[in-house]
Amino acid sequence: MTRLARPLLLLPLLFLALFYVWPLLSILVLGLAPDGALALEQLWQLVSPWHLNVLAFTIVQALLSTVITIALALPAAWVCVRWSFPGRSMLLSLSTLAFVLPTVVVAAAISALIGSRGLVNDLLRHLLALDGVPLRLEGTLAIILIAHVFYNFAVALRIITGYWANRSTMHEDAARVLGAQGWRLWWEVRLPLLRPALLAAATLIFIFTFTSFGVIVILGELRFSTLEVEIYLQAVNLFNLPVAAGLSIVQITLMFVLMLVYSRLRQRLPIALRAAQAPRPQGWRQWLAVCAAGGFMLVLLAAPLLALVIRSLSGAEGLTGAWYAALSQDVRGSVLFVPPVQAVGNSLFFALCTTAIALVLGLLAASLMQRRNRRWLDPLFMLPLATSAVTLGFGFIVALDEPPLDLRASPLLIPIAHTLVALPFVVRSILPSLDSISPSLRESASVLGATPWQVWRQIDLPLVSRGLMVGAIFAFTISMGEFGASLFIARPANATIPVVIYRLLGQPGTMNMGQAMAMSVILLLTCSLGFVVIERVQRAGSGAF
Amino acid sequence: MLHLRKICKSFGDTQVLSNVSLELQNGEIVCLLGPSGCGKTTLLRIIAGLETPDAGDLRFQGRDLGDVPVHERNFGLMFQDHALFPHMTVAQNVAFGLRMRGQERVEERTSETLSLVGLQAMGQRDVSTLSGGEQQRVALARSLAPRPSLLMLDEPLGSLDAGLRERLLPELRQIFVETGQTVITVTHDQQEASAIADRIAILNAGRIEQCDTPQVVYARPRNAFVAGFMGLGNPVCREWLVAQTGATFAGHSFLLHPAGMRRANAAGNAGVMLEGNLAQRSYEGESWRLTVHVAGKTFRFRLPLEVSPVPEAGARVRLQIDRDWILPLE
Repeated sequence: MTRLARPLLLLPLLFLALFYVWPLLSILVLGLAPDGALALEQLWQLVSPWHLNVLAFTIVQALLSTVITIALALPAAWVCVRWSFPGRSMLLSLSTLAFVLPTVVVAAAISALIGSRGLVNDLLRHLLALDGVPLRLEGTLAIILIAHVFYNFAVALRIITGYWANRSTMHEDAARVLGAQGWRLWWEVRLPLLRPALLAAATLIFIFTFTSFGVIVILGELRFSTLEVEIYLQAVNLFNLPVAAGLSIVQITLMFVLMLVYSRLRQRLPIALRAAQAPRPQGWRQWLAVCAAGGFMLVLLAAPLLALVIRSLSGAEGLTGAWYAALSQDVRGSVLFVPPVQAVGNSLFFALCTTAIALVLGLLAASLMQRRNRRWLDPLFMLPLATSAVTLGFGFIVALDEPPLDLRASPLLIPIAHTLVALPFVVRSILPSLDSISPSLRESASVLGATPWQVWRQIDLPLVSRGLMVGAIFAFTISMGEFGASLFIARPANATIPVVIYRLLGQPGTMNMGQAMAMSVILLLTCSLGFVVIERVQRAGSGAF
Repeated sequence: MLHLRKICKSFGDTQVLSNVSLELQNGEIVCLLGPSGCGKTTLLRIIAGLETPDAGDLRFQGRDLGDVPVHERNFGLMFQDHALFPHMTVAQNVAFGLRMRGQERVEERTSETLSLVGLQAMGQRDVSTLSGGEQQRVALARSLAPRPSLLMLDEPLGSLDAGLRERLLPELRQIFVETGQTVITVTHDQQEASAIADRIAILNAGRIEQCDTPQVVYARPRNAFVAGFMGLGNPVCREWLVAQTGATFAGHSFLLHPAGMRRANAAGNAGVMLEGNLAQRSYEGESWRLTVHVAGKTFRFRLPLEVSPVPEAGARVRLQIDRDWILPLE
């Protein structure tokens, strides 16, 4: 890089300072010292029964989600490691797809399946000739837990199968020779050996469900409040900014601690290899186990998505494209301010901006890491991962609404927020391909007469293009699906797809439901496409270069 | 043409080059020879501009190279790992330097250079599909194409197997001589150095021990390191030599050059005589290779086929050495 371009490398650091550190500091100041002097009594107000309840519920639902997810994923992981069977890799991919879907799509899909306007209720009505809503799950803890299991199943499955596939069966064989059988083999050997993987998976799922926002506001119908939801309600509905700031501080602190724990636990995990060759199941018992686990995964992961697609295409008289057609009309005018199709346009525009910003910053950040001390820079660029989208969004309204940085009216505010969320993924996609370029390639080029700029343009850029493409797709799909921060900072006129889906799902009537389903399907297809391309590119990437 | 004066370079606490001076004439082929870690690659990288020397003077055609960046030196450097650009075809690799320097008739020069290295039909091939020898040729063509005023090769044949190396060596030299190319090459193999170079500079621990034609380096090694590295054996001290031969010598350390060793026959009495045990003998077709222990020292030399049989290992043998081949060392 030329001397002129070198300051460019500092751009990502400047970006983090302005749009990550500054908003977080603003929250700290607002929560701890709103008038300039340290005033902790404000924080003490949070120790009210109501806020303690919120905290308790946040923890309880996260714990329950974690335990249930792992309990369900453990047998499935066992089956997937132990035997190879038709559809195994499809099931694994399906679980990962569920994990990368935007929360609003997950919420919409769950609601399309078991919500009061969902498929299961339709079926019950028809089969049992019932009236009304036979199964009312919205606003219950059950539906929140189901959505969390759907969403986090892949986390447990991937970590556990990865760990098991890399371990030899030596210890198990030894235990078997010593007479361990059946449940004792599980309880005394298999599970204790699996502890690092179980702990890591549990911590990660706890982190994700602890900060769950979209699922809870949509499916919980605001009957439940987690820390995330409470921050949002206090800040946006009640405009009680200091309380929201106090809650954010609690949230930020807990998240940093949890992320620290997780990164420690993760170091003990082996690097996941591709699943080893496993034998086919033999005998009816093994086939039964495989069918049970596979069937369960298929129902858990595919049924909601299928229901979503069916719901988006079904009206009172059967198959219809009416909901998609209606996206261009602003039927309820006052509710949304914009026709849904404009939200699609907004989302696409923001996603393209996010992709552009995140790629430039990600490439610069990765180049900076190559040159400078990576031990400090790497965790620094991963920091936004440890901050929930809602706190980010809240930080944006607190910090960026007054001079010197008044960006409230700027159309770039949403892409900037999305870039923060996407940047860790983009950097992680680019860095490996940048690392794989041997220094002698660059040196050869410059000996052959290439100026530093030409070296970058002719050697570095073409060789990182694969990583750039993966990073671009990450940035695009993350931006398309981002909900928490967008809800905070999107103005009615520039609402994004997830925000509009949220608003539509909150309205009664089949029209709103149908439109929400149709938009969710659009988002589902966008993200699935991105997911498929990333999997392809990464698989092809292992061979070349 | 190229003048290096007292070049010094350290990495941290390690002194890699100390006071290296070297001069190159136009069209000359010089080989830097030395064990790994002796600093030869660092010297190449300094000349190419990829490293900056801590001290010393680097001039090319009278011009100080200190402030000339790598890409403006118009040198060529062939890397040990060849460093072919994986995202370009063979022809694109070769054309790269021509394009970067804005030269004209890129395609013509590319195919011309590819024919020079015998790869005219391979221009459109992907570099990942090439064999090791082909990759080496592409790397060579890429360095040669822009007609660098100085070409440097870092262990050019290092990654190839012995058979291929032996075939390519004379070919390489022929290409350089035909094109009048000034070349600095680096190797740790003394045979490779002798086959390719006009002059050999022997590097040891960051300094040049001797710089001469291959014949001189071989026949008149200046010191014990050069003698040892050229595979000529270990030196003996004067006391040992006097005790063994009874003759007188000036100097304190000597090399008994294998080229001067023969088995003593009854008639010949010229030169200096030694007596020892035949430790090993191996038959090499046109000659025998003998290892003889004399009073705690080991000597290895070739013995041309003779009519009289060579004694079995373990036998006492008498050796006769030309006085001219008893070389005083520094």
